[in-house]
Amino acid sequence: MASWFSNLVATLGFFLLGHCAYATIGYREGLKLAEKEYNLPPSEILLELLVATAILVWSSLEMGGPFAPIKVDAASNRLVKLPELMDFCSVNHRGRGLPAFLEPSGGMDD
Amino acid sequence: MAIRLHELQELDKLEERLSPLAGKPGGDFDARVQCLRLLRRMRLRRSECVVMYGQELVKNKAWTRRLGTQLWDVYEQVALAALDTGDLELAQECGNAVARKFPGSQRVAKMAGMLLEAQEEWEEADRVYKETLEETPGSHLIHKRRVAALKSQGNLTGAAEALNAYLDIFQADAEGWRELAEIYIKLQQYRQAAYCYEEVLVSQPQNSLIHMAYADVLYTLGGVDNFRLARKYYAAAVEISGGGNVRALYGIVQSAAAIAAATKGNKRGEPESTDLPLLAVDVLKKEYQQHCPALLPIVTRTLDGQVALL
Repeated sequence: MASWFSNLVATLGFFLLGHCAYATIGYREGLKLAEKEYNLPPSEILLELLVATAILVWSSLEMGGPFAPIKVDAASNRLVKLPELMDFCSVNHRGRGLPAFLEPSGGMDD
Repeated sequence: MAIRLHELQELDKLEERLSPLAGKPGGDFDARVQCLRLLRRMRLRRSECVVMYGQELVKNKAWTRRLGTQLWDVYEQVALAALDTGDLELAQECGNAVARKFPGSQRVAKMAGMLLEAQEEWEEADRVYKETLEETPGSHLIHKRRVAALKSQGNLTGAAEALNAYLDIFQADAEGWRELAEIYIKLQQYRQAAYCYEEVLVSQPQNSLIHMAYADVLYTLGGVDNFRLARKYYAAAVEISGGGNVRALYGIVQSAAAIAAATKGNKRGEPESTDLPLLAVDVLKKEYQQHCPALLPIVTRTLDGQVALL
């Protein structure tokens, strides 16, 4: 849901960024013709650049998904179990005798 | 290193989203891929889940193209999961696909060997492993499979010997040491198991679950010194996990009670401090009060029994 929207916004951000560059080049060409010195792009372009940056920062964070907690003692960062030792897993076990996908029978209460 | 709560919650959410799709074609491509990726990263053995959501991924032509380079990892994952659920045909299919792309790879040899293991053709499987080891003697995957094959045949002593030989060469393999510890626990050789957990602790000193496993083995060994050491490691596990480990809190209470029982009537030396176990009892009662009030009366009764021993 968020992914297509953030993709759209990111595309818009890149478009704005490209537009900033294009506008600045145009502005410098104009300055050259007028034989004036170039210091900074005009404030409209700076504002546009700021908006593009903000949009891109937001959309890239959105694309990356929610933040993972980094504090060691955060409640959601609790170590629940050790990873299973898959390199040593045995495939010769009694599970083979069972049907692979058992439907819950409904006979047991939760 | 260890699975964290938020990772498990993420996985549970994905599985809930996928559950209506179980065994059906079509549906949510992204959720399927994400679910399998999480399972690969966390190294959880949920083979039914992998087969349920993964087999459509590898059977759907459009989806296999969309997977890109990830496809081969998914093939391998589905093949191993299919071996685990007893679907040997699917395993063979996926294994063949990978073998065509990467002939002579160690991971393909491992899959071929495991397929033979699943059919209980131990000699054939061992021949595959031996041939691969002749070509690539340093292949840790294949060395580990040989240990696992011995374990599958019920030859735990042989597996321990083979794993010891492997660990002589690959001394930094913490997973190998953990496996060896588990084998020794099955063989009831707790002193050796404790040594293996020490090796794991050295490589993962920040992992509270290893501290706890080591303390469990020490507690099982018994004797006042071991009880004291177990209490110390349970306390370390509590400290590292920020008090979020109920089993370690129980461990502190249990080992303190065991020390008290073992030193009863012994007038020499200083009496043991009871601050730590009493604090653990308080925390445990609070935790149960907060998260599971229904069990509180039983827990209170058990813990009070332990406190009376102190």
